[in-house]
This record gives sequence, C-alpha cells and structure tokens, in this order.
Amino acid sequence: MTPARALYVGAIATNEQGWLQVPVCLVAQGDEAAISFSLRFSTSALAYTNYTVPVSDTNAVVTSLDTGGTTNGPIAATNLTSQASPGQLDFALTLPSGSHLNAGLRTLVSAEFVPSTNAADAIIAAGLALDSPGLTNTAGTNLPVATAVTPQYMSSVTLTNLADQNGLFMSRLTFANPGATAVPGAWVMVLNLTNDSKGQPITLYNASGTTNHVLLLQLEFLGGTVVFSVLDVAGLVPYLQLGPMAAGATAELTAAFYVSDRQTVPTPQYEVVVMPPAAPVVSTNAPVFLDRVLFTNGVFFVEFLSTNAVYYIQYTDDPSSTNWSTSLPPIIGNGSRVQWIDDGPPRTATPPSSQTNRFYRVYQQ
Amino acid sequence: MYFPLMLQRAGWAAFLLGAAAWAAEAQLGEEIEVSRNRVNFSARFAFNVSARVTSGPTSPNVPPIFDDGYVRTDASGNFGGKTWYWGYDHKDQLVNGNLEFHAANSPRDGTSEQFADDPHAGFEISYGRELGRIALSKHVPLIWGVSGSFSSLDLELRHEDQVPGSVTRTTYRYPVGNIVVPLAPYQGSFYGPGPLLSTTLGPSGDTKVLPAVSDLAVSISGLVYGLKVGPFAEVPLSKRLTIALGGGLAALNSDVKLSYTETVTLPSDPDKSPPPVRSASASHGKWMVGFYGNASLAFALTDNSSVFLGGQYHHLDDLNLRAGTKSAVIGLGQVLEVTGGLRFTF
Repeated sequence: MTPARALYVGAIATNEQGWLQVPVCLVAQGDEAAISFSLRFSTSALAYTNYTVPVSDTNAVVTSLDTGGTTNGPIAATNLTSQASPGQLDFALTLPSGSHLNAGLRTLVSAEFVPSTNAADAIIAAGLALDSPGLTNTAGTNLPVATAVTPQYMSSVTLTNLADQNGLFMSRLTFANPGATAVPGAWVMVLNLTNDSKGQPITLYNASGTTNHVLLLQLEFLGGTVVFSVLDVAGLVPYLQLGPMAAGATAELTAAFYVSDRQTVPTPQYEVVVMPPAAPVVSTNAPVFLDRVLFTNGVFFVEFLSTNAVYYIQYTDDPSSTNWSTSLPPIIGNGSRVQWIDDGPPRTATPPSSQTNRFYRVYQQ
Repeated sequence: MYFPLMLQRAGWAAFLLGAAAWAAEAQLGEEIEVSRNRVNFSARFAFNVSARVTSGPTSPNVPPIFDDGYVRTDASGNFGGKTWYWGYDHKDQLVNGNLEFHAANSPRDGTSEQFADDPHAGFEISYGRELGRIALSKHVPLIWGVSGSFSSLDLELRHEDQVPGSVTRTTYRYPVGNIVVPLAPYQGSFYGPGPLLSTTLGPSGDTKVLPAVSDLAVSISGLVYGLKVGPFAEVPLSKRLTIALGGGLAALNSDVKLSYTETVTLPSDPDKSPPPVRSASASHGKWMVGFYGNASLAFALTDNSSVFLGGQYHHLDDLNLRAGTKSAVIGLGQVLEVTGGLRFTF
C-alpha cells in the first residue's frame, strides 16, 4: 500500500555539541514539484542556528532532495526566508521546471537548534509545528498533504522487578511529544531484534502487532557532516502502541523481550510514527471466569484458565461504564493457566499504581 | 498322555451317546457310506484361560519429575539456575515460601493376583482327508485320515481390584523466591516465558511412610491363531450319527496386549498429593507349539452335510507379557474348548 503524502518532523538527533537536528521529512507520492512550509518552534526552548539540506548522500535509494528529481538535477532553489517571525522558519523548495520528486521517503531539510537547557528538556518543550504546507505538482496544482510532529523516543531503562516473574527482558521506554499540538497516538516500531546465542530470534513479547516497515532512515552527525543510512528495508517489524499524547507531554511504555537463552541482552532500536489508536474490540461472548486478580508491587496479576484460543483483556476504572478499554495484543491461550500482568503502558493506558481502582474482564475471541 | 484326558473331559459324554446309537444302528445292518473329504466350519468357546499379574517394584519419580509436578530444564538450559519449565498440581504444595513436590512408590509392589475371564470366542476351519478304513465289524468301519485346520481365538481378560497398603513418599522443596506463584494447577512450557523457579533444591526432603490404597485395572486382549495338523478317526454310529476323534500338533501365534492403570490414593495425606495415575501398555507376539486333541459327534442333515458338537483340548506354553512395572503370565496350558458347526463331505 502506498503511504499517504505526509510532511512530518522526524526523529530528532543530537550532535556532538548537544545541538538538536530537527529533520523535516516528506512521504512523497512522486508528483511533487514544489514544496513550502513553516516550521514553528518555541523560542524559550530552542534557538535557531542553521539548516542543512542533505547533499552528501551517495546512496541512490536514499536519494536526497538535490538528486531526487526525475532530471537528477540540483534543486533550483532551496530558500529559507530566514525567520519570518520569532520561532518560525519558512522554507520553499522548488525543483527545476518539469521535474518532480520520486516517490518515497526523503528528508527535505534539517534545521539545527541550540537548546536553552539540556537536550531532553528542550525536546519536550520544543513546541514544534508544521504550518502552511503548500505542495504543487508540475502543473501547479495544489496537492493535499498531512502534517505531523512525531513523538520522540527519549530513553530506556532496564527493569528488573518483573524479571523473575515473567522471564522476560523488560525495558521502560520514555517518549515525548515535542509538538505544539496533541497527537492521537503512535506506533513505536522495534528494530534490530537479533538472534540469541542459541540462534533463536529475540522477539518483542508484548508487541501490539506487526507492520510493514517500508524504509527507515537514520540521521547521523559524523564529523560535522550529516549523513543518512538505511536501518532496515521492507519487512514486518513489531510495534508497540503509544496512546494519545498532549503537546509537550511525556509517556512511558514497557517493551518486553523474549530471549530463549535468557542471557543475550536485546539491543533494539526504536522508530516512532504517528498513528491513531486501534479500534476497540467488541465481544458478545460471556466473560471468562477469572481465578485471581491480585495487586502487588504496583502491578496487577490477572489469572485464568485458558484453552488454545485468543483472549482479549479489557479494563476500566468504572465497572458501570460501557466504555471498557482493550489491552493489546490479545493473549493466545496455551491450555494452561495464564498469568497476565498489568504494569501499565502499553498493555494499559496508565500504570495501575496511578489509579484508585481498576476492573478487568477477559473475553475469548 | 493328553489324549485320554481329552476323552475324559470333552468327549466322554459324546462317546457314550454315540456308542449307544451305534449299537442300535448296527443292529439294523445298514450299509454305511462315507465320503473321502470333509470340511468343517466351527465356532469355538475356550475355557480355563487364566492370567497371573505380578507387580514389580515401582521406582518413585525423582527430580525433576514428581508425582505432582515438574521442575525441568528449559530452553535456556536453566540459565542463572532458574527455569520457566515447571508446573505443579495442587495449591497445598505451596508451603512457607517453597513449592513442595512429592514422589512415592506403590502399595502393590511385589504382589500378584490371578484371575480368569471365560469364555473366549473364536472360530476354526478344517479340512480332512480320508486315507483308509478298518472294519470294526461287518457293518461298521473305522475311517481314518489326516486333517489340518486354521483356528483363531479372541483373548479378553479384564480384572479390577483394590489393595490397601502403604507407600514411601519423599518430599522435595524448591524456594519460590520473590515471584507470585500462579494458581494451581499450573504448567510452564519448555520455551516459556513464565515465572522463573530456582532449580536448586531447598531444604532437604523428608521421607514418610503413608497408608495408601491401590486401585488396579488390568486388560489383556488379543488373538491366538495358527495351524493344527494331525490324524483323525471317525466311526459311523448310524446312517446319521458319526463320532470323530483327532489330535496332533498345534502351532499358534499370539498377538496379545497387556495394559493397566493403577491409581494410588493416600487417605491420610494432608496435602492431597497422591502419586499420579500410572499406566502402561505393551503388545507381545510369540509362536507357540503344542498339542491338541478333539472329539465330536456329528448328525447328518443330508448325504453331504451335518452338524457337529464337540470338545477340544490344547496344551501350549504359557504366554509371558510385560508392560511398565507389571508382568503377566497367561495360562494356555490346559485350555478346554467347546466347538460346534457345520461339516460338509464330498
């Protein structure tokens, strides 16, 4: 499926000086001939210094803006109208007459900022937005485009409190929304899952699903030069569902990795894309009998006897409500007892320890 | 030495009956016509098949397999001295921060019981060829020849009983550490993941002798089939009545399965963790060579067909079977059969 045309702020990188590289990317459909947009930011968090256009890339697949046209010629004009107003950068990119971009994902420009405090706090308070997008084809016709500011992966902390309880490698991931507006949700694609010492694949045990990973670019700052490299090619990768995030908000979720030898430490990489949350699962079956719901050490244990079927766990803070939330992914029964643990996102929207009460029910699909 | 026994047990009544009829008919002075070939189709019902089942010593389970659970090596090779490949059966096995597992023997160890389950049904097809005649009197010949047959017998012996006794049971303990133990019953898998249990045995296990009751159900079933060859003799008692005697070698193959299920309960066990139901099954095949003898009395329906009723005696080796900790000896040494069917002559 061809991804929709989208203009978005991608993964923010930090250079050796601690400055932030904010890439603006485009999922091009192949007919874009002229592009303009404004990048807004919070002047209390960021101070603009420079911008770069990818020029050093030699990988024909990851073609940069200046070689992406059908004529392979340079872009006629890459014009930054400086800061049109404080906290706003206006860009206008025009290809030679009759030229247009090739379809695919490309970074248009990377703006460089000096953070007012540390990089992490500056990202959270960045207040980024893409305004006034204007895209036209070679005939000058306006093209529709969606804009987004991607939530940023900030850090991960290895968890040990549940290591013996479930036999998994657990990492607590932190994300921030550097945008000026809320995002409805996001998928955190988990990459670089290798094999363990026994040759068995390391898997994301609590994956919300898998998705087709078309093309991923990594922005790196090496010796003062911005380069792009391919992290992965097309294929299915697991992802975690990140819930809605308000502007400037941070959120956490837990990644649980299954490693059959229990000693090969996973070294995943994360990529975030804005994605609305999945539709809730509605079941007409009677709920499964729960043998035990136990709250201890800040987490809930939900236990039930399973068959070799698929089970959905739903939860709510108000049992009289008809609006129960569904934890994803569903549980695949094994004919024995299932011990499902609610330790917060992504299984549930918030950690159970942050709630005064929480109710559960389980449906067999 | 077996042939007279057969006469005594199986054919004596028929012999007397036939002799009386023969005397009456002989007085009529009628000419007796006997065809040279005869084919018999008969049903068989065997009696006096017994079995003795002996219970050998039951080796109690040892780590990592227990009567009420397991703590086995998982996909990681128990990395860190822990495994997710464990399971337990009863909630009472969680005692003072340890999971207790048990292993016991059987109160039936070393005992044996004998039983029979008659009759056993089968069939036989035989062919006989007359080779000569000897005149017993002016009107009564003795017809002799050789016959061969194929026979089959279904063996089906079932036995159930209950034996009280005692078992020796050992308790093994594994510390659960800081995990929340899933409710019982729980069965972890080889590939996991799941709660990790230490594979290091905790406080040394204790051994107790507990009263126990063993319920045993044994089944022995299969086929005994094969060939029999030997001479026969017939004496026409009248135009319709004929008495026949035979005997010879029997070569029979057995294809028999021994299976059992033993359930041990511990009436005084406070934590309700009896040994698991033990069961085993095994099939055995064996060729056996022995002797047989038979006698029958036939009543002619037409010139070429008759019905007959008789008895047969087998002497074969005993059949030895083994499955699990149980062994069985099936007594085929003195099998008596009642036979009946149709005879065609030509």
